[in-house]
Amino acid sequence: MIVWNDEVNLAAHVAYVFRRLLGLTRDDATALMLDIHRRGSAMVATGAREHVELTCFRLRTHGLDATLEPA
Amino acid sequence: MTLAPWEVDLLSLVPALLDSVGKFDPDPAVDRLALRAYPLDEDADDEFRRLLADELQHGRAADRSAFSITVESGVDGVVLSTAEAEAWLRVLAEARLVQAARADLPGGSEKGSDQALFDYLSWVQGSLVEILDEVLP
Repeated sequence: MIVWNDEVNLAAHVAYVFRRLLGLTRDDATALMLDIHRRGSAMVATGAREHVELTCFRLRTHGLDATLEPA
Repeated sequence: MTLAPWEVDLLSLVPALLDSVGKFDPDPAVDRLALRAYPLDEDADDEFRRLLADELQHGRAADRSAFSITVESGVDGVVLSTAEAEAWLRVLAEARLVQAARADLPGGSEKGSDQALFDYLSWVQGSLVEILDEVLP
């Protein structure tokens, strides 16, 4: 699963959503948010299709631009 | 949380803003809020939408209902549960995305009431995130 940078979502919101939905620590969530901001996108999760689809869905309901690619 | 009457007035604009998505053409907000996951695989994308479209619709309706009810109570003071605060986050995130998609905010040259609403929603969302971040284990 890939999350793409966007210029609208608040940085703190993105980091909070990563903590809430991906179970990351505050430091890891902030680092991931900054990595996406700098590089334009980042792979944030891999796994079984049903699991990543549900996580992708939840990220998108929080406004994040998340997409999936086959392994 | 106690909201000033002017805050209730601003927040009360949000449900109508979200309800307006797709009501005119072209509306760039439609694409930004679209339920999609597989940009490179049309069949998989269709299946994703088929499986989750109802959940998205019900979730958005529940979020907007919780948002509207608690905004109306805000003048007298209202305590948001974590679930309600997260509903607010989703509603505010969508509203900001809709505004930005339509007006090329932020960083554009839009001024006036749209910018004021955008800035206020940003402040509310940021404040909510700060509180939720503290209570998340």
